[in-house]
Amino acid sequence: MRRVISLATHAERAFSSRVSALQKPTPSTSSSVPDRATLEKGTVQPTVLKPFVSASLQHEDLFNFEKLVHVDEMFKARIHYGHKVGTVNNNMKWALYGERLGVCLFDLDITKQYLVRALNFVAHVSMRGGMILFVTSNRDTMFDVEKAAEEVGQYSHVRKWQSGTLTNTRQLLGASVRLPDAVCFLSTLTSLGENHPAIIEAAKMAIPTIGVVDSNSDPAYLTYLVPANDDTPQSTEYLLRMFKEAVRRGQDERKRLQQGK
Amino acid sequence: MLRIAFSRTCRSMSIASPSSVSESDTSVRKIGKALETYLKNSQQHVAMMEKHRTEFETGRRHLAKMMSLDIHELDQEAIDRAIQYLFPSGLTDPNARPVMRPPDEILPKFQRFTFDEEGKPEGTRFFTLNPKIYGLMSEIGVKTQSVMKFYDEHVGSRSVNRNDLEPANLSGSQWITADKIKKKLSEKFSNELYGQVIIAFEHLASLPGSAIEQKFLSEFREPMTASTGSKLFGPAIPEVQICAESNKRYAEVTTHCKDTRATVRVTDAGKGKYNIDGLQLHDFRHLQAREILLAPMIISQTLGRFDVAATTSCISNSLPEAPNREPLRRSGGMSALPRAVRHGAALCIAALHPESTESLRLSGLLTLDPRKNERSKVNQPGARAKWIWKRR
Repeated sequence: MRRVISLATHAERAFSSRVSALQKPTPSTSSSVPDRATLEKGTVQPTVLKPFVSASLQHEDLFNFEKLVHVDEMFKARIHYGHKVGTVNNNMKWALYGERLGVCLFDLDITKQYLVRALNFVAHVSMRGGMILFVTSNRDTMFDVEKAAEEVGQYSHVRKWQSGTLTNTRQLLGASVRLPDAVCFLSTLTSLGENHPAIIEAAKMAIPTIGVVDSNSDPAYLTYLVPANDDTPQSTEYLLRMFKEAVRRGQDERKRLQQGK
Repeated sequence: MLRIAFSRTCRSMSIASPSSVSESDTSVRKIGKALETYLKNSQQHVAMMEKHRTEFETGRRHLAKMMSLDIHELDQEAIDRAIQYLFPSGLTDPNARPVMRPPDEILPKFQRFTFDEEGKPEGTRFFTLNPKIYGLMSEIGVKTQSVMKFYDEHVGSRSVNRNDLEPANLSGSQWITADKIKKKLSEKFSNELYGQVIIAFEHLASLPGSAIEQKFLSEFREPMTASTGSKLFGPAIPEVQICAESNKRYAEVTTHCKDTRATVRVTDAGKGKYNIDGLQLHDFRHLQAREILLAPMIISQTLGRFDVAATTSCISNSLPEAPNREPLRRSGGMSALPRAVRHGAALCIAALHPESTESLRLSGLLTLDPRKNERSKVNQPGARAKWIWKRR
């Protein structure tokens, strides 16, 4: 968990360098640039860098997703269903409410909290003109994911993952290209129950990831977790609607900022 | 690790931050090292192509002078003829012969990506590495879903045309080859992906109700005969004609086996009759001959559908006679005559019934047998046989 926070803080720290020009400087900080000693300390204890992060990133829910995400809607979209009790991953027990008829159930209050955090991150990336890659290996929902990514002008990958797609673009594409700024996994497991190979590649390239993790998924190496059902078309449809809305809000904000200048 | 994270994110974000939009004059410097290298390679490629183009133009002028032609008369066909004349080549593979063509046609193409001003690659499937072919596969998948939905909604109802609930009619055509899809999409991909695309197409075409996607499917089909016609050894598959009297389709072809030349005419909508120089199938007493004659019909599963009429002649008879010697008359024979008729009949059936072309070709019936009786040698009793050698 600490690792997750540190990665996220670093990502936010990076954004702030540019955004700080747009925002009013925070009164608590004496200068907008940390000195060398603080930076060195920050590699061990990232929270000391928090005062230097811009005001827009200090906000827990800048785009007001608390109002967008409703527990009853999530319930109707069957977000709360996990897998059979026997398949539960030890590292996913924190997100569970309990079990019914041998099936794990997610605590939708926890899910909401994490979903809002993930949506906030997506909207921030989108506001800064970042590229988001939507990834899934689920055959039932692959076309929906592709469609959703196309609608908001982002990228999708729902096919066989060629190893080195992120780590070895030079060889594979003949030229180095700009990598996505965030990778969003709508399901983290392949059909064989193994972790999606893109998770490790994104971690190697220090690309922050958002992962919809079911009760049998492994949350390791994912930056932002969304504990939810990832197998049902209805739940994926709901989550895609949320992510699309987050990207749109970020894009609108970006447009507003550009016109305001 | 964290330091890398910091620097990388900083770099990519600095490209993308809203503040960079106003500084459009310095945007090229800001788009990052990746794009810079790409732009450099791209410029190099453009320069190289320009050089080759001017070289080609100079070469064309020299060639025109050498062939004493006007430069305007020297189009590509004239260049090909001139090259063939100046550099005669006996190499069988056309790719190994000397060519002179515009550099844009023969030099490898530079992989071009399109980026926007922020360095984002174009296309939502860019990171799949094969965006076009995966796009096609997704299109097929979406169409498959819609066809299934259409059928489920309309089966048994009278609101739609009944023909729309049938599978698509794809007879007489086949899926286009991998090379053609590559050309069509202008993208390279592996054979494995081609196999997946064909499986997806086959599944879509097999569904009841896929007739509504007939137009989409036929974009990726090609006529069957066109592909095998050029590859055949021997006479090509003939054109289908229509008999003026009986108004039936027929095809006619001339072929040979050993010394027997046969002109075979196969008529559609017949009763399976044979007329070979006035003889019918049962007039051939040897079972081998009957089997040979029936083979094309058995392979194409069209027994009793076609009538075969054939006339045979001797090839040696038509050759100029050797002095002081009667021409040899060796036409016919227990298997040569039926084999000549079989080859002609198979070619005609391939024309009249294109679905069976591939199976006929694979069973070797469309291939000419070029073997001839070996001539006997002087001072020898036969082609290979020698007189008995005796010391004294």
